[in-house]
Amino acid sequence: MKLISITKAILLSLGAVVIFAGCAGDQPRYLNAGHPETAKASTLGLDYQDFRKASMDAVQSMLRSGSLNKRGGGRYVLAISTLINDTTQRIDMDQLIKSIRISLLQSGKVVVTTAVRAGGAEDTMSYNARKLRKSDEFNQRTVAKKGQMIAPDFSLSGKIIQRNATLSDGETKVDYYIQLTLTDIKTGLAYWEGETVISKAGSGKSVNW
Amino acid sequence: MKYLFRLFAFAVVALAISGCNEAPVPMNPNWPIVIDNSLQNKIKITNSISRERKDGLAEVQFGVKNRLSETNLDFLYHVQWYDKEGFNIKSITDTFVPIHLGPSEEKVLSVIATSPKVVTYKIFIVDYEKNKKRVKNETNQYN
Repeated sequence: MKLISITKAILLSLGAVVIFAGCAGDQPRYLNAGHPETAKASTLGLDYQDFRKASMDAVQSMLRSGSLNKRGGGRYVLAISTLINDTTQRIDMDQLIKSIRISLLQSGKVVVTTAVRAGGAEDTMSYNARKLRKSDEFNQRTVAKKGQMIAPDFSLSGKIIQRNATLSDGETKVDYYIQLTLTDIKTGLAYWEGETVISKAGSGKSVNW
Repeated sequence: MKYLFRLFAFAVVALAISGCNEAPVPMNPNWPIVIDNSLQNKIKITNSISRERKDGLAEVQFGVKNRLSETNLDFLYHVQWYDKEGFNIKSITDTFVPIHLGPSEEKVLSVIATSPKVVTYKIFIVDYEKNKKRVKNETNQYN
């Protein structure tokens, strides 16, 4: 009787070890050249850390290129254009763009307009406040006059592409291409383009779509 | 008189040339690199230079070499920026960056400050395994 309970305990312990070992093996990892070979990723999908890396790469590359250095000093006005999510995940592209905007603003090279954006103004209050022009309730000297808004010099557009592949050991490899383009609105020429590639591998089960 | 005129012309040319040159002047004469004790014998800083770019932003460049001839080396680096009063200037895109070096491999790393207020800096190099959680903690400091 005692022998049976000991056997049961051993079997249960072995089962637990196998289950936990399986879980550990499912942990996704980075495959990027810059990352340590052992670098674990939280998920096979894109997370906050990945967005942070992509925005850091983009800001460093943009500043290095000198394309935001205005002749005679001063700031360029930047509008946010179309951001395409070509992945199987639901991504709020503002997560990526916001930190780029904050860094560029801090650099003193760019100011972002919220009155013009692909698909409509980001902040509609600039337009709503102008509807007060005919209202007797408002001191008209405090209402924005015509011709005061500043048109953008550049637009920032982007796309995230996802490519999946199955590795020889059955694991899933996912490559994300985070691409950004800075276009001179007057000429339509792309003055800066950047791409950050994030590669991860892991069990397909660990993907949270 | 002729001699004086030549001297004056030479001085004008010398001044003009020095004005055009963007000489890499170190922002901090001290060696502003802090390396984790566990990495002291594994990593070698091959060069460390900094300059103020024409656009007013500071730029730092430094080389890192894996002293180990048979082992890979993983570490994290982070540049902290300071204004003229010594206050730390944080940027939302600042983070600990993971670097992987193969045996005896050497890489040149370069970072541009994201604020024109930066006048000096400090580079921190820490062990990857011991500090990998910091990558996430540092990046979450703005949330």
